[in-house]
Amino acid sequence: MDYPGQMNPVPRRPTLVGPPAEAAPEVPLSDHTDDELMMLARGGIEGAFDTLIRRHQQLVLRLAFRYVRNAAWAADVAQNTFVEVYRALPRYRAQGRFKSYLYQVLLNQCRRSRRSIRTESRVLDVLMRVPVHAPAEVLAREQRREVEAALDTLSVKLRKVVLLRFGADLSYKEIAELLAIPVGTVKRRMFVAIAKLRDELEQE
Amino acid sequence: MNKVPNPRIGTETLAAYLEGELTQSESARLAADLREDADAQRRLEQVRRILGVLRRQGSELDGLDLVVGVRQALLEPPSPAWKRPSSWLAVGGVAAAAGVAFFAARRPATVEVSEFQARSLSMEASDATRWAGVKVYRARRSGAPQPLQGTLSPGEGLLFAYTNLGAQPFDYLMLFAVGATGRIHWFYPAYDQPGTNPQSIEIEHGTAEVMLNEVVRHQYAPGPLLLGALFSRKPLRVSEVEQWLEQQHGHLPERPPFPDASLQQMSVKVE
Repeated sequence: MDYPGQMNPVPRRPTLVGPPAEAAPEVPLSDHTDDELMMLARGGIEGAFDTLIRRHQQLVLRLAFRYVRNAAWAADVAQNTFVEVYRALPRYRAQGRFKSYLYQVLLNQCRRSRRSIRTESRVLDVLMRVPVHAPAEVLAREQRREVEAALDTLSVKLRKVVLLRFGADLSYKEIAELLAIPVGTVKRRMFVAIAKLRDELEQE
Repeated sequence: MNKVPNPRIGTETLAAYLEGELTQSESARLAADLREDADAQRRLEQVRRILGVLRRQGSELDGLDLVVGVRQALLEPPSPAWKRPSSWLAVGGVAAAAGVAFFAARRPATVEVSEFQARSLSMEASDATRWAGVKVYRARRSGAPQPLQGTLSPGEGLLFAYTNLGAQPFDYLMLFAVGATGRIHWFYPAYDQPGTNPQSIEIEHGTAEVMLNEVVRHQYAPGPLLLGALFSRKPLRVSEVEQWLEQQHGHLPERPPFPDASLQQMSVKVE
């Protein structure tokens, strides 16, 4: 991986006729914490930011998708989130709160993207071609659609807590940090939200 | 007959119970109450189902790798304004982010320096609509990647995008270069472990402008550099291609000796 601004990138691929690379014992990047990867990326260590992206991209994409409800936007939101995080590398402070930081950036990106009303139909065209065969899968999709619709009836505050908990897999503590509210408030919102979802689905 | 629903068991409490947020004694008391409250049991199951759906949150984007798009976006100057969605998945799932205009295979009168293009020779007459091509870009430290035009610096990073259209597209691709000293540089497949013998990379059918996901750097010797793109229907091994390349003494013939394969080439100068 090659990022702009990297210092002295390590040659990535020795050629066939070149001498074999020295086998220096080192900790695999995947074993580093998020904060460590951010610091390594800041220091120009190749692959550090890739590792960070790949560690979090699935949940970032899912949360973005659930927020903006459009695959093209969600992919852009997720990409822009990581771009913003990368550009903020020089200012990042390692305090063991990378996830909270990442999702704060993501939520900002989601808010900005929702202001845009343009759609990207080509992407949806591609996605719509994905076949669904198994009845169980159809049923699961239907259930998900119903829950998604019910989620739309929640207030922004309640919905945000649900999405962060189940979309981003954040703990109550992490959500509290991210939203700057007490953990008890997060839990209360969550349980109220679940009860409201049940009420909404019961009415359908 | 069921008893009257216990007013103490609200749905919020049931959610807290399923989330593991009640104390042990609260959970025990709730479990006891539930045994006597059919309505609460029904709501409990509903909440359990909702939580299950929320936890199984796949999306159409599962499996998408953002690394390439992020890298491309970082090659562009920062933009303060929100941009419209780029064509992330428009073709083949990994089209590059905005600002990089990739070549789509077609039959030009003259081939641009920065692109390879060819048809499979053995299929030429019967399948005139099938086209495949590769375009090469210079990865710059700042700004968008630019098509490779004639000259290249030693150690300069390159990006590749392939097109594989037509009724009978190819299945595999190799990208390599032969330097002025005869040294062979591999772009795809990666060949970085002596003693290994990797094979061609698989390519998608019916796709155009598919960006391969790494910037590749080699230290090229000054002088001419021949870039080769070898499309095939069966995977080829690095060793067999190298053996053939070494016999060509710095020149690449139009027809590779591999069945139903197509070689495209372009020449640049390293300076």
